[in-house]
Amino acid sequence: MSRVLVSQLARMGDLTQSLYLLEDLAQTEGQAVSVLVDKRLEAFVRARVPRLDAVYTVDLERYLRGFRDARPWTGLWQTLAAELRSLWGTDFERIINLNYGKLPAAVAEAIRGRALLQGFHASAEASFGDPWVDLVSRWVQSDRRWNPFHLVDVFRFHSARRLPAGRWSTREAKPLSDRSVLGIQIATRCEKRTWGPQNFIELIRRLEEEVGCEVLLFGEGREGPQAEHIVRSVGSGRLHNLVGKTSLEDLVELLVACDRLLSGDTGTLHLAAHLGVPCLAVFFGPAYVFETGPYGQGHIVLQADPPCGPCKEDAVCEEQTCRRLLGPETVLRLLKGEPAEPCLHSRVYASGFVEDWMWYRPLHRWQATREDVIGFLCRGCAGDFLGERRGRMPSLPTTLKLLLDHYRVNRSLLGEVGESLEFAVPETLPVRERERLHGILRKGWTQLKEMHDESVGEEPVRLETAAA
Amino acid sequence: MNLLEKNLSVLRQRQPEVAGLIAGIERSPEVELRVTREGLPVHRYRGKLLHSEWDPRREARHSTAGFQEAHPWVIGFGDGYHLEALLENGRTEDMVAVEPDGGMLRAVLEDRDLRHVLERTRVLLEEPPARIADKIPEDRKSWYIHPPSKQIHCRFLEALQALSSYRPHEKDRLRILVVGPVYGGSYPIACYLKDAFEDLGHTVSFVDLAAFYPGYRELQAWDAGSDLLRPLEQLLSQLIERRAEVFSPDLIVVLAQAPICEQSLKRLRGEGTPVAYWFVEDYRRMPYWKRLATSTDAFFVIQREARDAIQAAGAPFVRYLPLAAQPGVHRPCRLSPEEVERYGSAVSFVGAGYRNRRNFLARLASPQLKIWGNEWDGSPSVLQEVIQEEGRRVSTEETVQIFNASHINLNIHSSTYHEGIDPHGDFVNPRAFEIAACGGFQLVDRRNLLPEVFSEQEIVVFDGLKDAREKIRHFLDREQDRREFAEKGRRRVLMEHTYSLRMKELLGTLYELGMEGGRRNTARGERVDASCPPDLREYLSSFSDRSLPELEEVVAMIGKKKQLSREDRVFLTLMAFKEEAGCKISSW
Repeated sequence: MSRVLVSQLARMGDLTQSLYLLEDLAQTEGQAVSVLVDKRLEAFVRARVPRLDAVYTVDLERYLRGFRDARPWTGLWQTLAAELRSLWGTDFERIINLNYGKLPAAVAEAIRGRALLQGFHASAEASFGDPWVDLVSRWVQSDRRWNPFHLVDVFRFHSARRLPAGRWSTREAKPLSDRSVLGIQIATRCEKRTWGPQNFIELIRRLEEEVGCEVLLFGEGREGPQAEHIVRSVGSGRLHNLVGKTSLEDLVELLVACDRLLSGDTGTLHLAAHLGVPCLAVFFGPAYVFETGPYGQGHIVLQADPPCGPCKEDAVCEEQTCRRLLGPETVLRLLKGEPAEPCLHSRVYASGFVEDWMWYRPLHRWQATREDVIGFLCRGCAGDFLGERRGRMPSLPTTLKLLLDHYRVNRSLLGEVGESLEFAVPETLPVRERERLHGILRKGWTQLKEMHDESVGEEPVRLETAAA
Repeated sequence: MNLLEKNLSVLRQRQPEVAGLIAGIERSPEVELRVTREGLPVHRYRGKLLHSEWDPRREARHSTAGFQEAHPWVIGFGDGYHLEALLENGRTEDMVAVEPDGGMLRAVLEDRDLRHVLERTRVLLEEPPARIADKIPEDRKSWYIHPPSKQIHCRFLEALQALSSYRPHEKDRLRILVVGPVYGGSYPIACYLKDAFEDLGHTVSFVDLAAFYPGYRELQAWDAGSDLLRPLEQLLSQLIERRAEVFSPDLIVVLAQAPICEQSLKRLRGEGTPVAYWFVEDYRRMPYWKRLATSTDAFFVIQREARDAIQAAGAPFVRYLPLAAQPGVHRPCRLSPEEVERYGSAVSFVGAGYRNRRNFLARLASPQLKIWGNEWDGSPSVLQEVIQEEGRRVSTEETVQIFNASHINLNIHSSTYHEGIDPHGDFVNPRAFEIAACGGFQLVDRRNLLPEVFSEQEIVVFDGLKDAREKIRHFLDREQDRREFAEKGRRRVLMEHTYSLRMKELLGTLYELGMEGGRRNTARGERVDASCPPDLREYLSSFSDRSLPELEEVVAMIGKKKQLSREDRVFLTLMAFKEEAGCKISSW
C-alpha cells in the first residue's frame, strides 16, 4: 500500500477544507493516508477522519512564541528536530503540501526525503508548486475573479478519484421558525470581512420580532466583548452567548444542533458546511465565494460585488462600502426563505456541484461581466491546458452552458472578452505556456460564441426556466 | 666551483626545491655589489644597503644582541651577516629565513660563501605572505626582522604581519556590516568585499544602496546651487545607522563614496562597534576624507603617502592597503567566435574617457585599437572611430570578456592634472589586478607602488607615448611572451592580490588594534559546548569551536551547500519559523 502524507499546517478553517481530500484519498484510492497538522488540531482531525493511517504534528505555536520570547534557538531546534524525526522513519511515496508560504514549504522539504512533492513548493519565483497549483495560484495572483476553482477542489485535485458529490450532502435549509436554532459566528479573523455587531444586533432584533428562533453566538474568546455588546443591546432570552466558551468538540456538537449557520468566511462556516449544516454566508471585502464559499450542496452566499472587490486582506481600505452593501434586511429575508432582491453591487448564490466540482449558481439571472465570462472560460479550459483526462475536470461545453443558462450574455460582451482574452493569461507564466494557454482560451471563446449564437433563439425558454 | 655552486650544493641536500628555484632565477639587476674595506661583500638593493658598508659583522652582532630565541624566523635574508650573528650567539639551534626576492638571494649567493649558514637554516623563498603566515609562529618574539628588509619588502612584511594576526582568529565568526556607495567604481568593490567576508566564514549584511541610484541621478541633475543631494545623503546615512542598529555588527566596513556622514560614523563608533573605512580613491583629488577619517577606528588607503597626511589631520590609525581582484569574477574564460569577434582586438582599452586618456590614446589610435567604456563624448575624431558601441557603459562580465579577448590590454591610470600619463602616479588601479586575474596581458603606465605588487616578470610597464608604441609593436608579435607575462601575473594575483586576502589583512590589522573576535557572541556567554544538545553540538563542531552562532549565520552557511542534510533542513525550517514570528533580522 502506498503511503501519502498530506501537510496542512494552517488553521481550523483550512484544515476543515482539507478533510474532503483526506477522505477522497483514503476511500477512493485505498492509500495509507497520514496527515501533518498543527499540534492543537490533532484531536480534531483524528475525530473528523477516523480512517487516517497516522496523524503527525508540529507545535507551531511553540516555535513562534519561542522566537517572540527570544528563547535560545538551540532548544527550539532540538524539539523541532524531534518532531520532524518522527516523520523521517516513514517512507512516504508522496507528500502533498496544501499551504502556500515559506514555512510550510520548508517543513515539507525537511520531511520529504525521496518522496514526490505535490501541492505548493518552496519558492514562488519559478513556480508555486505542481502545475495545477501553479496555474490556479497564478490566476489568483493576477485577478482572483479569473480563478473559478474552490479551495476544496484545488486540494481534492490531488486525489486521482473523488467521492461522489452526494457524499457531501447538506440538510435541507428550511425557513427559520420559532422552533429553529440559528448559529451565528460573530467575527472573522480579518476585520475587513467581519459583518460587525451593529448588523447582528439589528438582525437578531428582527428575528426576535418576526421569527422567534433560538440564536447561538459563536466566536473565540477575544471576541467576548463584541458578543457582550450584542447580548446587552438585544436583551433577548432566546439569545445564547457561547463566544469563547466552546471547545472544538463542543462547537461540532452545537453546530450539528443548528438548523442554519450565519457566518462570514470563517473556520466555523467551513466546519458547519462539512457537517452538512445549511449555511448562509455573508461575503465581502477579501472574502470571495468562488474561492472559499461554504462547500457542499444547498448553501446560500450573499456576496458583495463592488468594482474594487474582491480585495486583498492586507490592502488598506477606509471606505468599506462593500460591508454596507449587505444589509440585515436581505439576510433576514434569506433566512426566512423569502425571495431577496439584492441591491446594486451584490449577488446571491446557491451552492451546488456540477460534474462533482463546486459551483455557485446565481439566484438571479444578471448581466455577466467580462470577468465572469473569463472565469467560466478558465474553468472550462484548465483541464485541456493541464492535459488532464476527460472527466477529471470540468468540461468546456458544460461550463459554457452554465454561463449561458444562468447569466445574461450579449454579443458585445463576447467581443470585449475576445479582445481582452490575453489579459486572462497570467504574465508570470513562461512565454510558451502563455501562448498555449491563450490559444486554448481563444478556442474556448470561439466555442462560446458559437453556443451563444445557437442559443439566441432559446432565450425566452431559458427565461422561463430561470423564473421557475 | 664558484660561490653559487658551493652554496647550492648545501642547499640541494637540505632543500633541493629551493636550490632548483635559485638556479633557475636570474640575478636581480637591481642589486649592486659593494666591498667593505676588509673585502667583505655587501649589496645595495634598489638603492638601499643591506648591511653596513663599514663593518657588517659588527653591525649584525649589535643588532641581534638582544635576541634570545632558539628557533628564530628571520624575515629578509640580506647578505646573511645577521644570520651568521644569530647562529654564533650560542642560543640559536636552527632557524628559518624568509626571503621574498629570489633574484636578490641569487646575487647574494653568487657573491658570498654562506654554506655555514645554509647548513643550519631553512630558506623560504618567494613564498607569498599568506603561505608564510600559515607557518610562522604566532609569537612575534621569535621573529627577527632584518632592518633594511623591513624597508625593501615593506609590502610583504605588512601583509605578513596582518595575516598572521588574523590567523588565531580564523574561526571567529564576525558579523560585518559592509556599507557600499550608491554607484561608482567603489560599488563593485563593496560587492567583492561582501563576498570575500562571506568566503572567510563571516556573516555579512551588505548595505546595498544601488537602488537609490536613479533618484540620486535625478537629484544630481537638478542639484546645481540648490544642494538637493544633501538631504538624500542624510537620509541614507540614517538608513545605514538603522541597518547597523538592527544587525548589531561586530565591525562596520565602509567603502569610499558611501553616503555616510561624520555624525553617523561617530554615533556608530559610540555604540562600541569598530569602524573601518577603505578609501579606494586618490586622496589628493578627493579631499572628503578630511571630514571622515577622524571618526573611524582604522582608515585604509591605496597610497602610502596618504598615511602621513591623514594621520596628521587627526585620524587615529591609517594603513596602506592596495586594491585587488576577485578571482570568481575576474578569471580566464572561453569565448565563442562571436564574442572574440565582438570583444577582441589587438589592443584594447577599457575605462572612462578622462582627458589624459583621450590625449594619450588619440596618439595611439589605429584600426588595431578598440576603446570601451563611457564618458568619451567630445573626443577627438580620431578616437570616435575606435570607441566601441557608441561609448556605452560596459558591464563587469563584458569587461572580463574584453580582457580575455584582447592581445594587449592597455591600462592607463586616470589623471585630471596631466595631459598624458601621470609621471608621479603612485596607487595601482583595480584594472591592473583585474586584467592580471583574467590571465590577460597588459601594458600599464608606470606607478610608484607597482613594484610592490607586481614584478617586472609579471607585468609590463611603459613610461610614455614612445615607450608604449614600441612595447605594443614588440609584444603584438610575441604571443608566447605575452602568455608568460599573463600567466605569471595571474599567479601573483591569486597568491597575493585577492579581496579575500585583503580582507584578512584588514581584519588582522583590526585585531592588532585590539578588536575582539566575535565580541557579540562571546559576550553573550553562549558557547557551543556549554549549552547545546549533543546532536546539535556535533553538527556545529564543523561550524565553530568557539561561540554559538546566530541562527542566521548557520543558515547562511547552509545556503552555500550544494546538497542539504536533514539537519540542514531542520535549520531552514526553524529559520522559516523565525521569519514567520517576525523575529528574523530584517536586513538579512
